[in-house]
This record gives sequence, C-alpha cells and structure tokens, in this order.
Amino acid sequence: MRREDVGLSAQVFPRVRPGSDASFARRCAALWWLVALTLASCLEYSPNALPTDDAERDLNRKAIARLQAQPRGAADAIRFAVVGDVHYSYDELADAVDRLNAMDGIDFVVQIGDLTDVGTIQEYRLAKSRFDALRVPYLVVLGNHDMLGRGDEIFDRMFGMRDGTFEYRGARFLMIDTNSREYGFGEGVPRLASLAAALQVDEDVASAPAPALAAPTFLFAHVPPTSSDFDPDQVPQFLSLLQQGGVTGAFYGHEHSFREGYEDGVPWWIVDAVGRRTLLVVTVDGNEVLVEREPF
Amino acid sequence: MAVRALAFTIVASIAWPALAHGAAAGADARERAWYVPDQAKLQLAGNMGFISPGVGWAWCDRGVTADVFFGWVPEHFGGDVYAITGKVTWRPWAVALGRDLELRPITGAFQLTYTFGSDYFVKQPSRYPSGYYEIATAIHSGVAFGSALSWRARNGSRLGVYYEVVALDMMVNAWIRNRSVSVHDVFSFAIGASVEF
Repeated sequence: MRREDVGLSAQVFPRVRPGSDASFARRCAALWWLVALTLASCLEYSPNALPTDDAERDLNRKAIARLQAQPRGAADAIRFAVVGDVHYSYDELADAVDRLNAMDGIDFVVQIGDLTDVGTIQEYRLAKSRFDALRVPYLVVLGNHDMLGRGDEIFDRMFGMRDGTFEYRGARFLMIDTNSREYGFGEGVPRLASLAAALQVDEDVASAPAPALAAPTFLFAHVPPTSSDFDPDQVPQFLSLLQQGGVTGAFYGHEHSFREGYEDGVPWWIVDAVGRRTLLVVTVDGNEVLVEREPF
Repeated sequence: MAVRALAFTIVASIAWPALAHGAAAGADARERAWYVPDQAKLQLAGNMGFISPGVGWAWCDRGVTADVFFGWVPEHFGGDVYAITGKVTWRPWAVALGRDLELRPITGAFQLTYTFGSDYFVKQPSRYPSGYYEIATAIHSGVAFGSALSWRARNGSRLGVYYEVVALDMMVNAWIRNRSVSVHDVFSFAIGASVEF
C-alpha cells in the first residue's frame, strides 16, 4: 500500500479511533443491523425468479373452485366486478379493494390484465397482496406487460389459465389471451380453436348466428380487438366467434380509458385503469345485464 | 444444463478466487497488475442470484470497492436464471475492534444486473413499434445498504462477512409513487462472505 494512498484515504474516509468511539460505533452498527433486519422482507434471488411456494401457485384455478363452492341463493343475481390495468397504482388498488369489500352481493372480481408493469416477481407479489385483502375470489387475466422478461412464466405458475373457461350459477365465463403482439403477429394468438371449443362453436361451419342461448356468456381479455396490438388477421374470425357463441358481453383493458361499443351484436366495454379510480360492476339477472362504472 | 451450471458455480466459487489469490500472492503488492483482483466474494440473494461468486477491486484504503458477480438461480429456487452483476460499494468509515478486527458500520452500494437469455431484451425486439416499451427487461439496477466485518489474518489477507438490504429500481419506483408501499415491501436481505488478498 503506497503512502500516498493512506494519506488520501485519511482525508476522504476518516478512521474512527479505538476506544469509546469504537464502542459507540459498535452500538450504531448493532442498531443499524436491527433496522436493516426489519426493513428487509426476505431473501430475493432474482426479479425473474418463479414462485416456488404452494400459496403462490394456480391461483386462478383455486379462485374458481372457491367461487363455485360459494353458497348462494338460486334467485340471487350474479354480480362481478372488473378491475383495470394496475401497473404501479398500488394505492388506488388498495382503495378499489376497500370499495369492493364494502359492496353487497359481489360474487367475484376479475383483473383485466397488466397486473404488473415489467413482469417481475416482486410486482406480482405486491399486487397480489393487495388483491388478497378481497373478501371474494378474484381472477387475473394475462396482460402484455405481465409477459415481459419471464413474467409469462411467472403468470403461468402463479395464476395459470392464459385461456380458460368456467361456469358459475348458469353463466359462462371465458378468459382469453389476446396479447398477440407479444408472441408476434401471425403466431395464432388469440387461440381461436380453443375459443371456439370454449364457446361450443364449430369453427368449420359457415357462419350463421347461433340461436339465442340460455346461458349468459362473458368474455374477459386484455387487448381489445380494436387495438393495433391485436393481430389484425385474427379480428374478423374472433368477432364472428363471439357472435356465434352468443357472448353476452366482452370486457377488455389495455387502453386505460373507459370506452364501450357494440360489435356484431356483442356489446363490449373497456375498463379504466386502476389509476383512474373507476371499476366496472356487472349485474346479471336472468337475461338482463347491467354494467355500471363505479368510482372509488 | 442445470447440472453443468451447478458444476460451474462450484468450480467458479473455488477456482476463481484461488486463481486470483495465487496471482496476487505471486506479485509484489505494489506491482500488482490492475486487472488482478484484490478480493473475492460469495453472496446469498440480493437479487443477483441464489449464491453468487464474485471478484473485486478496492481503492481508497478499501473504502471503495467494485465487484463483478456471476449469479445463477437453480430451478428449485425459481430459476433457471443466469445473470451478471456489477456493483460499486462505498464503505466510508472503518472501526478497529481490537487488533485484527475491522468493522465497516455503513456500506452503500449501487448494483447493475444483466440477465442472460432470449426472454429479456436491452433494446426492444422488432415486433414492437418504436417507443412501445421504454425499459430494458434484461437490466435491473438496485441500491444496497449494509455493514461489513473483517478479520485480518497473519499473512495480511482478510476474511470478512457482510450483509445488505437491497432495493431494485422498479420497487423504488413503486415506493416513491405509493404511500401504501412500505420500505419492508421494497428491501430484501442479502449476506455474503469475502476474502481480501
């Protein structure tokens, strides 16, 4: 070690003298150690690590099972809420959950995708911790931001069901992955064959409107077919399938700003991002469907 | 592939610092070439890997160190993830606790991690229009605060342990933008061992 080095360091980084200074410094260090221990939540190996705990696996399937086991009067209307893109809006998300918990008769909640901003495990966990405060089951749809990095694999393990369908009290619900651009256009997303199967529509039969089905059918997807991020070659067939399948209403996110419309006999709604502090509450009573924007 | 990665990590953890130490010991300290490491480390967690070996260089009476870590997260712990991390640590004060023991009560570090693999990008792929994603998913920066303790052996080298609390860029962002996000949500824990030659 050169003498010049020692001189320089003594000016820039002073040494603490042994003795009373040392014991004070020791106590400071011990206090800092305690502070640090409480500050840190756990060990994190990588923002791109998959969840390994059972409590962080298959959450969509578990939510559906919990939903279907919920006791409900047969005459009661079905009521669900749709919550928009979260990204970094954790404060607003906490308020949305409080609002939903204060409401009567909500059966379940659907988060329409972009639960995270860059698809890291820490973000997934932070958003999940807010949603876990809900009294009712919740489902998460895959959004394009959720697929970044290893986010798509994290989603597969934590929530599962990029495409899925379930029944609840006589109504049908579909979750469809419409994040075409993430796979590259021309890669067959959305997966129309599985959508057709879920809607019980024979793809090959020439499109004729199906007879009015008894079961109200709702579709949840992140990217709307009106978006430039939806594979344009898939749009006509997608819309046709929705019509043939008798979809009662389609809900999308991605655009962060509420819009509603009607396409080939199928009404659709784009929900506000959570940061805009509104969500949608949908009430299904027999053949009547009411969609309300609820501020929080 | 996992077996090979495990073998590499074990070999790297032992061989790399051993080689570096050998090179350092073989040369007079004053004439040590700039690229010969001054230290080797092994860190648990800290968002750079599961157990990450690294080598480093020190300046200003070991008050400033720069380290390069190779990180691997095995499948069992949520991997496979392979990453490389560059870290610069400031350790301003040194407290002598007895003759051979030195405490660095406060350390502050900035780290940059690059994750290997086609899942991640620095520049967004061509399937996205310009400016679609304004982030590089392969790169995460972070800050770390901690303390370090080292023991000086008779031959002049030092064995040390350290701990840190680490916060990554997107979590700091979440903390700044949300009152309901606490430092507990943002910081995670890391511990490590060091050998200074």
